[in-house]
Amino acid sequence: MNKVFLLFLFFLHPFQVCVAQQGSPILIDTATKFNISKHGYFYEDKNLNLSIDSIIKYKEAHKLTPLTAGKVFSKGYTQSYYWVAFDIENTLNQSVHLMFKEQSSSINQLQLFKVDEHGKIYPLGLTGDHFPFKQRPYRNRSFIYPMVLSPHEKATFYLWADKRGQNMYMPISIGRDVDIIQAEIPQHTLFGFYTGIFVFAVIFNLLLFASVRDNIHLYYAIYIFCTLIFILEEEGLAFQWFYPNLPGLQDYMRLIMASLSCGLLIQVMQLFVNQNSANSRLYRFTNYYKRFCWAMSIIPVFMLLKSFIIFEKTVFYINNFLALLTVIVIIICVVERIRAGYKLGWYYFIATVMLLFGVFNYVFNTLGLTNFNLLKPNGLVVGLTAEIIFLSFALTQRYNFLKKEKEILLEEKSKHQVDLADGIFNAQEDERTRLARDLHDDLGGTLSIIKLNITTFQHKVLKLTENDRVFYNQTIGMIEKACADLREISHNLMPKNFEQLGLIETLNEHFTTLNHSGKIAFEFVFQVKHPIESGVEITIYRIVNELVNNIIRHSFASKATIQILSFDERISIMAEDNGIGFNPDKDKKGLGIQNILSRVNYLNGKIQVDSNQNGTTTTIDIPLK
Amino acid sequence: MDTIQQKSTTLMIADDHKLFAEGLSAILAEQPNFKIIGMASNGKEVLHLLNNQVPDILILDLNMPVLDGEIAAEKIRQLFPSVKIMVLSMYYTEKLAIKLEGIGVMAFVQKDTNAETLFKIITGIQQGEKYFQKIKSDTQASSAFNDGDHFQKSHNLTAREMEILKLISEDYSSQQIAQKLFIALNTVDTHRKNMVQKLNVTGKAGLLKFALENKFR
Repeated sequence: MNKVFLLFLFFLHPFQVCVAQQGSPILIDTATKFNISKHGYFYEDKNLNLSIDSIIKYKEAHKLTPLTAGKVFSKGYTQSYYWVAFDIENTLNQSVHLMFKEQSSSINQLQLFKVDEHGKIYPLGLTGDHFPFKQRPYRNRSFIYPMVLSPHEKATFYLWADKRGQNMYMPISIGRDVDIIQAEIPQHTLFGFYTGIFVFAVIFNLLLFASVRDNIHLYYAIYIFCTLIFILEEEGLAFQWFYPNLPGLQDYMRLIMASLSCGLLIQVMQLFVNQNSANSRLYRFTNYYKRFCWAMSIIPVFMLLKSFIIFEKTVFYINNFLALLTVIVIIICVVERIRAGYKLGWYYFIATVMLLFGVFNYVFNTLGLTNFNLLKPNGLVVGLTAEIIFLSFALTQRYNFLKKEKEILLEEKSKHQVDLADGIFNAQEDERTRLARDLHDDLGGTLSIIKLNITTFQHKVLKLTENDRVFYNQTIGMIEKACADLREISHNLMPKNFEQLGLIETLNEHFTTLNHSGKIAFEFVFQVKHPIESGVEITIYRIVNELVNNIIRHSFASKATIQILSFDERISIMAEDNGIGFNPDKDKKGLGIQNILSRVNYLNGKIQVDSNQNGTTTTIDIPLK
Repeated sequence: MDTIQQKSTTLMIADDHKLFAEGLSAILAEQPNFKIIGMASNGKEVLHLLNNQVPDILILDLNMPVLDGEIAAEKIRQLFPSVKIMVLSMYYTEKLAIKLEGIGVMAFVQKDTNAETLFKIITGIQQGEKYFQKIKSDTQASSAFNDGDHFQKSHNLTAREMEILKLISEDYSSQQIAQKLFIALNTVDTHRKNMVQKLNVTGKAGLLKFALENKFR
């Protein structure tokens, strides 16, 4: 029976040459690489029940569909097994060492069969990402089957692939073993290079986090780590490098990493552009979206335990769109903040646009809509790298920005404080002026009229008794004392005509009066070349007044010197006495000193007290604006 | 003049301090030879009153709302030159006195005077006398420390600075000066800086030169 069948085949053979199904074997010559897509066929096993025998029969029955020439084998989300078949013929007089390579690292199960001219089936090994790394026929990130063809050997190869519940994307090729291995070198180099950048960015951000304690760096470091795992996993490198003995993990690792990095990227964006409920209408939405991403990253964890087809399907589609959606959400949020005047948002915007191209390219490839890579090794890696480099730069820029903003804020705050102090001092001076005027004019007027009234009776005093006359004169004395006190009080509150007379003239009069009445000999020396601003002038007057009051009240001095000297850029006030001195640190709490200090501070001045039992010298320097 | 004296002197009072104005009016009205013919609470009101009736003497306060005494005095001098103005105010400064005298005010008296003096002055003004009080403590009194060293005064130096200059001329270092005068080194340096500024010399050397040249030894 078998012989008859073979015979039949034999006879059929010449006819079949012109028929597509068997017509164009891959001719192995001295070339280094051979195209499968021009020669191969595929079959979708929807019922999941075909064996190698049945697929051989199917091929003979022309039930297989030719592959699209020049395109990668890409079928999108699938629930079926796929078979790919191709014929091969060694045209050389020597045996050739070839390698069959399936480049997508996430095929769940993969088995290659060789069927020789006699129909003998040689299974070349079962592998796939559901099996430990060491089970691979050739230890590489890709699934590689070495194949040896003897001189002029003809054979048919059947590849069985299981990628159910996921995206069927399977770039397959044949080449000379040496060339296949050599081709791996630049690829490894390239990924080594990108991994280096990513790892550096992770470390950089972790160190930044350690030093500045800003959570954004921690989130960002985790984000970079997730994307790194994601892109390495896609190439099968994460499995090879990090967890070769945990097959099955990689099925979902990418999904977990993709969702996690989407959530993290949103988080980083929120921190970076300082999005909050007060400044963004999208804040609530973005927060929900972020939580959705976290939730999405947990679902694959459940699927590790048990596979649900609905989960698989939702997760597959959502994950493809999640990246795209995330990038779009971020761009919208960032644009909103830029429009609100947050200039730093531009950095994030540019970084995200870079990523957007990569993500577009990648997602379209995964969905099987497009089949080209903008850049090597693929759009996503380059997009992510560009984004990471630019965002790392932006993060450092952020500190400049925040620093500047802080400085502006501080400046405003100090300006506000100056304004506040200005207000307080001005209000105080206004109040004093008003009080002085009221006291002087109103109470003074009243006292004056009392005195006039009483003195009207002066001529009648002679008629009074001796005692009454003394009493009368005492009363007049009291009224005069009251008048004098009132004058002094109101003068202290606000010297009369201070604005017209100016600081020096007012002080001159003041010291003249003091030298007349007091026990301390005051020496007043001044040298003021430039006119002083009136606000500063009254403050200096107050300071000098407090200094003088302190000397009179506490110093027990006999001599004192007050100097006011103006230099080019400052005014120097110096008060010296030969009194008993005081401890400036201990007696700092006195109201007089406090008044001086607050006024000196207000004028941004410096005060220096040199005090001992032989006297006190107080030096105050006030900068001129 | 004698005939006028027989008649009572007509007075007008302008003061915004109501109590004072009324009190003053009452006191003056008590006097047989004074007659109050009007009271105003500011300069503008006075001008109104003067349009109707002109007194011999106007007793004018300085600080008043609407139109203050000083300006009112000037206007009245122009419009009603026959009115003798007596300024009776809480304020008194030499400067102001000179200014008011210039305007043509007859007297400038502080409010807290006694009744007898006031009566005397009013009577005096009516007879054409001028009264500008001499304030007890003014510029002449400043001689309290005017009698100091002429050299010290002319260079605007303080007593402490003189001491320091002397020590500088005796080759004392700042440190030694500080110890000798019981002041801080910082304070000595401040004094030095101040003196350099005042004497218009350059640095330590300039100060030393000045000290030596002026024979502090």
